[in-house]
Amino acid sequence: MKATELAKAFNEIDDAYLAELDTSEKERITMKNRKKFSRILIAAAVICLLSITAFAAEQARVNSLVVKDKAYNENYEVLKREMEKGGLDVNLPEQFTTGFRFQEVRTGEVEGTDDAGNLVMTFRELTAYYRNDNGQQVSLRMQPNLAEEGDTRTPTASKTVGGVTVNYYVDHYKFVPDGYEPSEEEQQWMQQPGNYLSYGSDEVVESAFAFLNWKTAENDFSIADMTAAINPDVLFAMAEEIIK
Amino acid sequence: MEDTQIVALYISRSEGAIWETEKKYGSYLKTIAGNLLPSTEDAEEIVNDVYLAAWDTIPPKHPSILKFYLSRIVRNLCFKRLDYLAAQKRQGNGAVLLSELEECIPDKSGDVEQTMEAKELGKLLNCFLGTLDVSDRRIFLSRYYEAMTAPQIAEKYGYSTRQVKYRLEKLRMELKRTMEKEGICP
Repeated sequence: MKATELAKAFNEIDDAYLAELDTSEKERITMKNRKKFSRILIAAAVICLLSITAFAAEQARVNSLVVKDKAYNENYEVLKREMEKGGLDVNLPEQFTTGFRFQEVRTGEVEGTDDAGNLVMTFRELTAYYRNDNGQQVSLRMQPNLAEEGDTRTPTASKTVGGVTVNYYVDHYKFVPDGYEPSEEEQQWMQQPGNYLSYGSDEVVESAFAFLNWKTAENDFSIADMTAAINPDVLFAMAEEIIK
Repeated sequence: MEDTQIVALYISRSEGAIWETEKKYGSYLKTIAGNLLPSTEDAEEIVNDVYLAAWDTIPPKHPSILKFYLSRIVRNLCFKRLDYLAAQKRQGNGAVLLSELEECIPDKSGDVEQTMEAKELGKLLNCFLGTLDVSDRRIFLSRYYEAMTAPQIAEKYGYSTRQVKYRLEKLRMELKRTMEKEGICP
């Protein structure tokens, strides 16, 4: 037996053991968050958050967006400071009246390239994660308004909050085994925006993901509920708290 | 973004899948590749190949834990690259890792079957890991699955580098005894 064969056999390690590595990483981040604060703040000081910082962005035809750097922090004060530096004039509380409490913030530097691979824009995005006592989690992603083409999906619900239109979408996925033949009814279902049939699962599983989206002239906001189990009124209430 | 949603993007053939994968796991994959391969260029190329492999295999694959699925791909591609680089005598850190694993393999002079299917060997590794406590398992897998160096593991868990090296050596010997006991070699 060669060492490479033994090394490759490590790919058969049970997921449960690999998951232990994740847990310890999480603990490490918690333990050492003080050390990380200063690094993140230094980065924030030199990068203009949430605004497109470079190049002729108004003419840019962006082909792909890639996050080159990201960092996590579990300190709410860091989220506040990042928002201030980014000029985000919204109210993002440590705890919403809906019971969702701040967990951590992720920052990332996004680079956009055109068809030829030229760097045409950079911006910072923030994603704040919140969890309630029932273990439900939502994330709020904040990035500059990139003036993308409009969403063709029809929102399940809409509200106007402080002059801003807030749309609630639910995407439905039906995961099916290979070779699955969709019925005529399912084929019609797939034609509806937001409905997707996905091959590759062992059995038929249906999943739904919910998003509450809104844009301002400067920024783009999206609250994601990856279970679609949270009452949309709860998400709308959170949006109302965020939008002053 | 949750794994289920990223997988859904792959399955719906949205290029956003690759963007989200890089966003969530790019750094993790680069760490593994960077620790195994001798140059940043090699590591970056391999990580890009991982995204392509994910794009090509999902569907039909539908991984329940995307991180582990991707980490297995990056390890496979890295070891393939190391085989290629071995011919050019520039294996870097990966060669060090492999020489350590060489120590785990019992005496190769015996005439019993020395080759095992990866799945069988994987079962043996899982049994071996089951005999360890969590802290030893983390150290062992950090080194031989994630390809972290001893100083990186020491930093991660708050040990000294010397402690980590000592425990890794002890664990390698334990694995060797387990393999001998299971009759892989005399």
